[in-house]
Amino acid sequence: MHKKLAWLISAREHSDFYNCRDQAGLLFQGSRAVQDPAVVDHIKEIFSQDLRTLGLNQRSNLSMFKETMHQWIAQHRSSQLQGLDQYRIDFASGTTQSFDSFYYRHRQRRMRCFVGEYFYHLKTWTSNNTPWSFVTEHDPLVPGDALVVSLPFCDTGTVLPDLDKILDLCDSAGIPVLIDACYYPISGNIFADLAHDCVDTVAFSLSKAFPVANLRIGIRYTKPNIFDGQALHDSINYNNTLGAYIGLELIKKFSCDYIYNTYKDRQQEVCEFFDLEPSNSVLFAIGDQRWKQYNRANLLDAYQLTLDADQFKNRISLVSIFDNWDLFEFVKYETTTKI
Amino acid sequence: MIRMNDQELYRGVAPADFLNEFEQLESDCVLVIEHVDKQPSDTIVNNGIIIRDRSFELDQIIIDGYDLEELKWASEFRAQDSAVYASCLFFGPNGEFVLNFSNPVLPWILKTRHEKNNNDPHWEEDYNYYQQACKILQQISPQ
Repeated sequence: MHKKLAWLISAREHSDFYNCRDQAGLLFQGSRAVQDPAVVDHIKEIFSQDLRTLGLNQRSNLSMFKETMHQWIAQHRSSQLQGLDQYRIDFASGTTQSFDSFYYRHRQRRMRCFVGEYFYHLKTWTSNNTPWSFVTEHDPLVPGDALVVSLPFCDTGTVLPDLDKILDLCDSAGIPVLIDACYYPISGNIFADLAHDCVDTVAFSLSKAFPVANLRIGIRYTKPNIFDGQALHDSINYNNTLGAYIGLELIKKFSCDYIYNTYKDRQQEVCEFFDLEPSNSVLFAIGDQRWKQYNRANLLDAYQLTLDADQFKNRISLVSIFDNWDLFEFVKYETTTKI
Repeated sequence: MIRMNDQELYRGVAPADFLNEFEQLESDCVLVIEHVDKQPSDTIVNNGIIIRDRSFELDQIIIDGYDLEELKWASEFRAQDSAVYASCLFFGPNGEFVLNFSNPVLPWILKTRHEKNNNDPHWEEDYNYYQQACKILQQISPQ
């Protein structure tokens, strides 16, 4: 049934067989934002405004965005991240700029992450000959490492087991940690204490919650004593004032848990129908071996990484289903009727 | 002259592009492009070198939006003098370019490519999913 749905969704967008087949094979991968109708309408409304006046060179947008985003994150009704108040906040170009700053600041260290982490890290480390390895039982964290960990975790959309213990270990071993929280605004029931000495950076972005990924809107939390290039640019407001304006307009209208609350019932419905395990990140579910063809193997190819895809979970992106809900209902109805 | 299953679609000077819309109901199809009326005087030879000639070349065949690409070579040219040239897209002498294919063309393309390259074992399953999806979309939102 999932293949039938994948082909249906793809054929709606591509009349050509070959394009359709390519998309059908990739449909349940990736992690783009859902095209939520209310959000899309609001984006259209924002873009109908005089963005030259409102966005270009309006430096106050940056500070307003940072302050509002900080409150926005804190107001999530089913999740909580403790300790963010102790950090300084910089505007960031998505989460990626914060990653790059972290890599550079800790370039003398060995980069570490858990199996299933976001491929951008692996690609950057590999292409720059940066020493790195997955954290495993046989290759644990040691002093001299720097750790990147997504919260919720990239491979599952759920908090990594033993995150607290991992952060305690990093505290005692002096291992700086980057927390990639880009999935936080699409997730629920995420709890973590980030008031750890080891936490160097916490990176947020709007790219997964709202379809504005190309505008690269995010913030970075860092320890107050860190004053790197990214912090410098933030201090002189040399950042994307237009992106900040658009981000500000979005988070003023839609709460941090809007996407989670709007789609959690649909996520449950899809998971029950396809026998998937729901993730805390509402745009994802975890599939068993029947879903292997949709694992991130193709993304590995795109990133030109030679890793064994079988070591990752079959993380299924539900975004295309949410965006084509009528087709999901059709397939579900047809199946139920046949039974 | 261009014929499909003996139905004449075009007669005249070889065009740069030829577009024809017609409904083909038969499953076995034969596309014939015939080069006719070339006279010996159309070929001028000077010191053993052809300095003027009447000829053309087939560049591309698109059926139902699908470019046959390399499959256009799965054809033959039957010259008027009974010589048969496999995979010949050059129309030098009078004669017929003949391409056999099946209708609808997409499964024929997929099957033929797989038979040649052995790289698309799921073509039939994929085609069925595609066809089913197109039908359902047509039912849901007919254009």
